[in-house]
Amino acid sequence: MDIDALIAAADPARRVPLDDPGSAQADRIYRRAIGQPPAGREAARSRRRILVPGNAGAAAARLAASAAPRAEQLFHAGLREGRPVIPRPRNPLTWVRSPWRLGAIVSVAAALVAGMVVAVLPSAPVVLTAKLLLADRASAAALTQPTVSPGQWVYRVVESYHPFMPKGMPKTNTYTGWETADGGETYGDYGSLGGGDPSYSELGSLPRNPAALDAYLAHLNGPNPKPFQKGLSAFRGIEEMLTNYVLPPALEAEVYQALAIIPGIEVDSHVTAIDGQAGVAFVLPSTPQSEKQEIILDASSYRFLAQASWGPGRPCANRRLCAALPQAIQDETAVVRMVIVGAPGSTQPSLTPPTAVELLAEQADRAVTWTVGPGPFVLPGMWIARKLATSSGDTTVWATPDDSEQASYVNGKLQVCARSAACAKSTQWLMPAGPSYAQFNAPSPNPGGPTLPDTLPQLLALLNTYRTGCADVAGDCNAVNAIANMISGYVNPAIGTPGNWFLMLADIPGVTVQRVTDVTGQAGVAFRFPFTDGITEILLNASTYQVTGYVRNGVETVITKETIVSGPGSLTPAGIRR
Amino acid sequence: MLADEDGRLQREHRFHQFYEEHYRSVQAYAVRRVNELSDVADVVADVFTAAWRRLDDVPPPPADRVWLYGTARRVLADHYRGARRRGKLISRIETSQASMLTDSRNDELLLALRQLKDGEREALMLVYWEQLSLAEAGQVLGCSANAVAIRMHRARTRLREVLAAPREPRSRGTVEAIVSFKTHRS
Repeated sequence: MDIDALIAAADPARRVPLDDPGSAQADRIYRRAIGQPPAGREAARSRRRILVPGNAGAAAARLAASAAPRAEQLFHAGLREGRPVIPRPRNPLTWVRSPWRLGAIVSVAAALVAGMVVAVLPSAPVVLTAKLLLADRASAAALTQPTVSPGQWVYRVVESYHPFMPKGMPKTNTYTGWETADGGETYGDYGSLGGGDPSYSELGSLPRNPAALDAYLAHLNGPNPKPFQKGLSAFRGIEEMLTNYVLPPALEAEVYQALAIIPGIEVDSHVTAIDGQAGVAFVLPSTPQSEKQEIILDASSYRFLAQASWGPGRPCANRRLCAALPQAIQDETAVVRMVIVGAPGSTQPSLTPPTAVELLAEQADRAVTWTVGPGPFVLPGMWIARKLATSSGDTTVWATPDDSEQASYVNGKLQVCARSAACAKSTQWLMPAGPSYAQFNAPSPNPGGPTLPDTLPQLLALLNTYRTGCADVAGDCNAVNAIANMISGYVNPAIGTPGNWFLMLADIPGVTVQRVTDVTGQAGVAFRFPFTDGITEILLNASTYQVTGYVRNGVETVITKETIVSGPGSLTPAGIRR
Repeated sequence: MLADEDGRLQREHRFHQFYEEHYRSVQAYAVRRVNELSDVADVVADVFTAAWRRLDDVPPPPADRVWLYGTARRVLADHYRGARRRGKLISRIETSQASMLTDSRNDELLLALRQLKDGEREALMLVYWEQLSLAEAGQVLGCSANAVAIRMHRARTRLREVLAAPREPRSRGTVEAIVSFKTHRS
């Protein structure tokens, strides 16, 4: 079947008439977006429904107009053109000529047991097959590997081959990058696929017996799998584990044993991976319902090298025709190089795991950049109400996005104060010292305009120039305070900048990570700075890694709630929150 | 005051151009992902509201598309959360299926698509339908270009398998399973 054409044709946007930006509907949405009231009541009501399916003829006409012609051309041109197949000469199943030394098998078995894998070794006469021998070699190789922690960084060079990409996209790509062993954090262009099945946290509780592991994995893709789905699911589960994580050696040893006993599995001893390396492969042959899959190991080290999937060599209309066609690789991903390193950016082998501080910085960076975002977005002219919990009680303070005006209740009376006014001296500003709002809030990129440096040493140097009223200047106390000030006192940071702050904090000498319970009783985790004039902490939520507050001079301040409001004294939410 | 007014006009001019250019793509993005077509306008409006409010953050072309789809993804996630809170999703699904599904071959593919993992389905849709490059799709999804390529490949393989498997009658049970799957992932 021609899956590309099917996907292209199924695009719902081609089957539903879209209206154009000049339509009345578009006009209403426009007014709504920029905050102007719609022209009339009728308009207000009509946002309930814009896409009224018309009669078939008219709908078809609009449909034709709305289909992206470029997409169409692209696909068909891509499908017509010749599809290069990387030559991979094969000798069927002739890999093992000389019997594999029994001693090695016994040692592998012993190691498997020692490595907590309860290997079910057949008590009956052992029939040495190529797949079991390959599994033993791979297991033995796996057991020579070090055990690394989930946060250990790994440098990878990955080559991928996708011959059936739409035209205009390269078929081979090389990616390099860093990833933690659990696939949780990434740098560079080789990223974890995330959301793997099984997940990294699940690895410790997988069955410690190859047959049981296969049986467990067989049910991952849904209950009541058919026989062909069982083998496929087990194969896939193993493939995902090998590609997504750096596995504990004992588990890696186990998965090769589990691979070898998947019903129907074969060994192909002469495989050339896309990067030209010689390989040996575990092959799950095609069935009437599924395509051939391969897990390729390096032919000399028996370490995981690549995964490949096969399919019909050209577009075909139905299952019978497709099955008759010569098969070709549809996709292959090869790990050309893999080095366990000490930190992202390094390519030097090192088994030193990242420090707790580095890991926390990565997590905080990821949270602010990808998962939770940089906090509320506040329009100019709006105010932000912050509920603060401190060791000495709770208060609410109002401030403008740039912290140029502030308000709070003093003796039951709301006092509003501009930073330039006389009352400013007696007010406690959340942003008493540090970079200007223009720097903090700079659009990105902002050539020639104010901005914060994006290299860590420069950022540290700049932040240390502010006087935040602390004494341990040599210990970078000013930089730490400036960051605490910006996080708590400003909103709408420039894209990506808060992530840098955390990475910078991790570089400050003496910093440690501490589990804490904050004044509100919430579990937190803190960057802790033992400055000569007292301890400063920056508090983060222990599960989301969002900043919650800070500790300075023994006083803890936690922002428990931030609400965008129309003005000082108001607690009614106004405007959008993110 | 006059400078303020000037700034507002300039801002609006920029937004207007942005809106004209992307209105249809955002609409198509929403059509491809909502459960009910009557929700499209809400999603489009929310995406452009965010764009208007964060206009200074919108990068120059061609990166603005990536920014826009990234925003649309978050808006849609909020939308689903809201729908789930209101408990409306399951009761509405049958009408929406009826309005979307008209052609049997395409229906099969759409249903098969819904059985994919969220990340794989999104990678496929962004590249095939929104026509983003692998790198752009990666930026939208928060992963690398290679991860997008691998996800796409997995998605295609799974689609092929699902489509090749013998068809089961599409009962209410299956539809609910699809819906609950979707709500878990969104």
